[in-house]
Amino acid sequence: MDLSVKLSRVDHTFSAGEKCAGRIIVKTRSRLAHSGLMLVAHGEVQPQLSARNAGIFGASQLNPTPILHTELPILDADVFEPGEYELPFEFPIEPIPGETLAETYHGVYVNVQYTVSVELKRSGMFVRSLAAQCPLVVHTPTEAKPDPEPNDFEILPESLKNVRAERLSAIPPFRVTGRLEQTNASLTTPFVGHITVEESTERIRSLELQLVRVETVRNEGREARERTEIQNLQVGEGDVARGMPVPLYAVLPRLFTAPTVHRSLFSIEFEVNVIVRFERHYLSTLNIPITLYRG
Amino acid sequence: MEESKAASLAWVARRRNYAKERQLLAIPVTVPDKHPLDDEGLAYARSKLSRQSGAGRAGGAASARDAGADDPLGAVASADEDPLRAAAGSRAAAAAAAAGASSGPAGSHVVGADDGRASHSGLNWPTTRQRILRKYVVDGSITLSRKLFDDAAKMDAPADRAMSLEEAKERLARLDEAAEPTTELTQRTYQQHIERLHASLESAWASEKRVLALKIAIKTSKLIARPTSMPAFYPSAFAMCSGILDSFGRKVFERLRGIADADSRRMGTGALPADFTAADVGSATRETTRNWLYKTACIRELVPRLYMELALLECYRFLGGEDYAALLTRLAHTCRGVGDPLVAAYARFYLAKQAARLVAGEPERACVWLCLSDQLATWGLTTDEHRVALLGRLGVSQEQYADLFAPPLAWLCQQVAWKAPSKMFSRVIRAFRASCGSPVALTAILSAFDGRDYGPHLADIVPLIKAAAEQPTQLPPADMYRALAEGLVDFPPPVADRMPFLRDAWTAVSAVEDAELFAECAAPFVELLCRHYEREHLIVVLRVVAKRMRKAAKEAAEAAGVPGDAEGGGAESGAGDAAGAGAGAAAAPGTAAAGDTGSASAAAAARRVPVGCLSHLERILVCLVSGPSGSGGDSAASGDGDEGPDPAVITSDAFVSLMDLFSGARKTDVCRRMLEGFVKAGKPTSDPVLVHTLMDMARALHDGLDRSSPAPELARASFLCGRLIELTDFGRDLERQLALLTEARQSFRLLEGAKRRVCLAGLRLTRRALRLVKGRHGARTAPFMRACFAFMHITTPGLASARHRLNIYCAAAESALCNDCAPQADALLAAAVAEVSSVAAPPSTDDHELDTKGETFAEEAVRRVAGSLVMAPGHPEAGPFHHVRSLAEQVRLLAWDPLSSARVRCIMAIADVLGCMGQRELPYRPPAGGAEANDTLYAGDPDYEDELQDLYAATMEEALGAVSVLSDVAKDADDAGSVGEAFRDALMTVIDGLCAHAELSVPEAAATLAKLLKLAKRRGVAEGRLQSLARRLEERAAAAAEEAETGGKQAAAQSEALSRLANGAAVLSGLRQQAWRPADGAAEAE
Repeated sequence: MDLSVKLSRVDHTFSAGEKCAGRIIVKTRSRLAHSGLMLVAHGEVQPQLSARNAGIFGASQLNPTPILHTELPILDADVFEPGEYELPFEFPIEPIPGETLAETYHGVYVNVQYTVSVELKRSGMFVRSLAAQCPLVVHTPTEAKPDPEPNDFEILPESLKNVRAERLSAIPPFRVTGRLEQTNASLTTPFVGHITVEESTERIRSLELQLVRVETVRNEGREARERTEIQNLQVGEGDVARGMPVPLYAVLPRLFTAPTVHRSLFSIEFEVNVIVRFERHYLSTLNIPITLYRG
Repeated sequence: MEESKAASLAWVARRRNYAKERQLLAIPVTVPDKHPLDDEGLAYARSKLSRQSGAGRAGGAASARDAGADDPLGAVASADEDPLRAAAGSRAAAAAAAAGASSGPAGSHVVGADDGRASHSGLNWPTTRQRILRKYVVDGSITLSRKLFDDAAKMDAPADRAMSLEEAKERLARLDEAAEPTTELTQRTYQQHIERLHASLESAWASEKRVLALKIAIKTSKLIARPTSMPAFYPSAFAMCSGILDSFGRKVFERLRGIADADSRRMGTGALPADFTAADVGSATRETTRNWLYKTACIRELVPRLYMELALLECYRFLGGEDYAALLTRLAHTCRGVGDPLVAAYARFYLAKQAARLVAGEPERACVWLCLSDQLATWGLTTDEHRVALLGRLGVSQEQYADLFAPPLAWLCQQVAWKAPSKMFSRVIRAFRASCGSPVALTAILSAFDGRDYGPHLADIVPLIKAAAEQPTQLPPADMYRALAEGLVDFPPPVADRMPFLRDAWTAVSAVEDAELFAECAAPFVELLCRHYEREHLIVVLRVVAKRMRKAAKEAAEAAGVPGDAEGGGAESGAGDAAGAGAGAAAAPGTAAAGDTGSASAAAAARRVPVGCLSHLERILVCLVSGPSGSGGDSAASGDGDEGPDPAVITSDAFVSLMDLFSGARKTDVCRRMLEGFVKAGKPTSDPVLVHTLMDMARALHDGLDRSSPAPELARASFLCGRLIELTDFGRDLERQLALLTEARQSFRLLEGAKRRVCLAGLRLTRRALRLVKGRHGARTAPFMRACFAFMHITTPGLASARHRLNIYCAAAESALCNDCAPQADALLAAAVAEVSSVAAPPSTDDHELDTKGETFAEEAVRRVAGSLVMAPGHPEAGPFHHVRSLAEQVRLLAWDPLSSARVRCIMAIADVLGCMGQRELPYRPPAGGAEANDTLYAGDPDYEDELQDLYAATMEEALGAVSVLSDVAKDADDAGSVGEAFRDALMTVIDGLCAHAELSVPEAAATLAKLLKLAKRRGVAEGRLQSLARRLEERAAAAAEEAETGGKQAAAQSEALSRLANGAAVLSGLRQQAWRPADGAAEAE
């Protein structure tokens, strides 16, 4: 006896509003009587306890919020003769009334996850019900693409915030310019731009593009915020040639990113840091907030 | 009277009208306007073939005839390039053009795949890699971060396991140290380390640990992410590591391909095609591909990420929608982030190499050009203060450092220059002038582009070279001039610039100290001068080269401390005679300069010339022999005369003394190559001095070989010596030509092919003589002709192959007849007849043919000789048919296989020639001025006729006797198997012969033919064959009937008899059911 569920797409990914399709596969070598086959698709936002926020929120208050729940009876009580059966199913991905769907996401404070589970109910002595489940990845594409809103930046000793004006003269002069092509970036296309070391008397050790995620959880007026580096790509290694634009190019990682979300209970935001590391162990960072969307 | 004779003789040869018969046989031929084997022609032929299969064959036959029109040997010689290579080249070019034309992602990655083969731009990665590994060798130690040197196996351990106390301590200790821990490696241990990495990659992959394999590949690329403490070793490290990366990339690609293939088979669309696109690939494969690419895209460090992306570049083919041009452009831009110029140069090198496998034409050029221009633009980084200080600390000179950039620059330049539009060169030079100026880069640029590009700007380039010479480099400026000269060989500079250029360049070249480098630089200059300059300049330069080489030899001899005494005697062959005198003369090279050629001093000095020079000298000599338009290139562009090698140069003392630098096997080799050059140029020469020199080379080549030399070598030498003879043309001076042939005969004893060509040249000589005297020899020319045929008679027996001997005897005899040398022809024919027996039983060792074919050859031989006999005049004493008689005797004496039809066929061949000789007018004869043929000599002589008829009758009897013997044997085997087949064949040969040559109105002949036909029918001869015979007989009967209307009673009787016979044959063969004319003869025939 074997029960499994397979979605029609290899990557298990469906967009909100689409119909999720798949098959339930039942294999049995003997007669299999049952009292019904039921499919349940369930999705929820699960604030997560961690060492950091444990003190802020009480454990009891962190109940998951269901955002999708669909029950689909597939079969009534019946008997499977020995053999293999494929039972197709299909259901729309729609939120529970009053809720909005969020993208599948695994973060430090928040998890959004969806599962499709099936259960073959059986009753009787020494008989267990059969169950199987598989994860469902939900994407929430944006209808209207926002403007890319490019950002031209310039990094100078003067633009450093943590340097007092009188110490400014001790910093070797440098000027780094560049441009991010979109601060409204699509998750599915690479994140692009370029950076140019216009001048720098100090030798440069490295140029880096850091992608940072900012998660916030709110509960009863209290708020926990966590910044995580999710990707750090070196774009320049060593003392790069002056005046030559070097591409900033990042393929956004699939697991740690999601569209920027602002909800009452939680929000997920992103920033990039453009980092210039100098030979003599100091660095300058430029922080630029960005908005991610699924295009 | 004739009637009675005919009745008394069973066999009478019939009269034939050859002209009319030939008309009937003629096949209308249309000459195709395209060669069926060239590209278009092939397509044409294929399209034809698809419609009707017969057309292709007709085209093939026509092409064979076309090819036959000009000298096939000459064609071989002129096709100096390997035709397959040429074809491949044009195909690659076509592919490149196609890819260039179709913009967009689908078209841009059609160029396949294996970097084991030479890529389409003529760049060959494996050899380049080997060259780098050979060139950049260091003997110091290389400092490497310990982390990178750790065994790959350690990486297998899970990263997040709890750290043991020791490890934690060690890590803390490491953090305390300012610098990373390092190890010292020698090149050998480094190499072993790389090999270990490669092995662990293989084993990780084999045990399906893909992530580990990826980690190992990343680790490999980290090895080349920073220049080591020893920059001189970096190129070799790159070459080693790139091997692992290539292997990794191939593995991933093959794995994805495997998945896609399995997918595709499961879906029922069959195996994945080699030129698949993303559309052929299932979603599972695409997902796996994306996983791999995501893994590489998130590698933190720049250089490893870059190398991994490049290694996996081909995998983008599974995704499609990805424009390779854009992808490569991005990666080329990414290389800018690499600050170290050396690391950046090699990363660009790898990028260009990978690009060559995936894109072609303009997209490829665009991305490589981007790399090259960035590299040139950042050249300043190699010479800035920081770098100079660093190099100073490492003890590496500026010159050495600049030289490390040579391989990547050469590669990038070549890829950019491949089939580039002319403006590309100016762009590259502009970029070079703007920010680089290094001689290393300039050499690379000049080597990559050719004279077509820089010829017109020569005056601007020379100052660039002069300026570049100021920059640090290991190579002298002469090397830049060398690169320039190489390119100019095929595309000469404007006339006005030639002399100033030569002055500048040659000053630089002659300033080179090192003999080998000097020879290397001088070689292209000699070629350039030979092709595009005046003879005087060439000779001056040659003298300098010769002088320098002698000097080098002398210095080497002095360095060895021996002014050549003891060694002089025992050294290589060819110098033995000079050994005694060599001792003194080597110490006094002045005497050699005085042109005492082939002298002891030169011979002794030869052994002292640095070995590296010899190949360059060889090139010089070969080019001189090949002549101005010799070695490839388009001679139209050179604009110079199209004569062969310049005799004044070949015979100059400089040339001779350069020749003398070679000895022994090397000399044989250089002679061979020079002859190759001359033969390849294919220009006939008439200069006796030149011919003499060339003959000397040919002799040296011949003398360097012996009977035990490898067969291909002998064959090549044969070809070269033979071609040399063919290319020698003294015009009207036939005596000289004959003398040369005699000399060649003596010189090329070992070379069968050359001897054959000498014989053929002799034949051609006789033909030409005939043409020159317009068919009539006078008192002066006739003795010469006799000498020619005496030459043929003496030379031919030297050939090992009996078939060739026979053919040449026959051809010579025919030529002798045309040249009115009847006695000579007689002797040659006698020799040819005598040769028949050796052809029939060839000594299998020399002829490379199987004995079993002896009998087929016998028939061929008999027919060949018989053909020549037709126009041979009779002997005043031995009679008109003495050759035919002795040929018949030969046939009789041969040991025949009783189970084969060959004997009957040979006898019938003799019957056929007799039939021919019985005609009032022979089908062919020597032209006017030649020997008289039998039809004139014996015109209307009744004795001649009688003898002929007797002979014909006897031959026919013999043939019938042979058939009956075979018949008995065949009967025993029930006419089955090969014996039955042989019998039927013999029978039909006789029947055909009868029809062709016997007068069938003679009742006995008719009766015999009817009998034979019935026999044939009974013994299972195919009906179709009999039917076609019957048709022929009917045609003849109809023709005879036509004649009979105008002719007399005799003609009518003949026609009557013939038609009866034809009718009988037709009924017999089943062509008709019953007699078409109720003649009483029909029944009789049946």
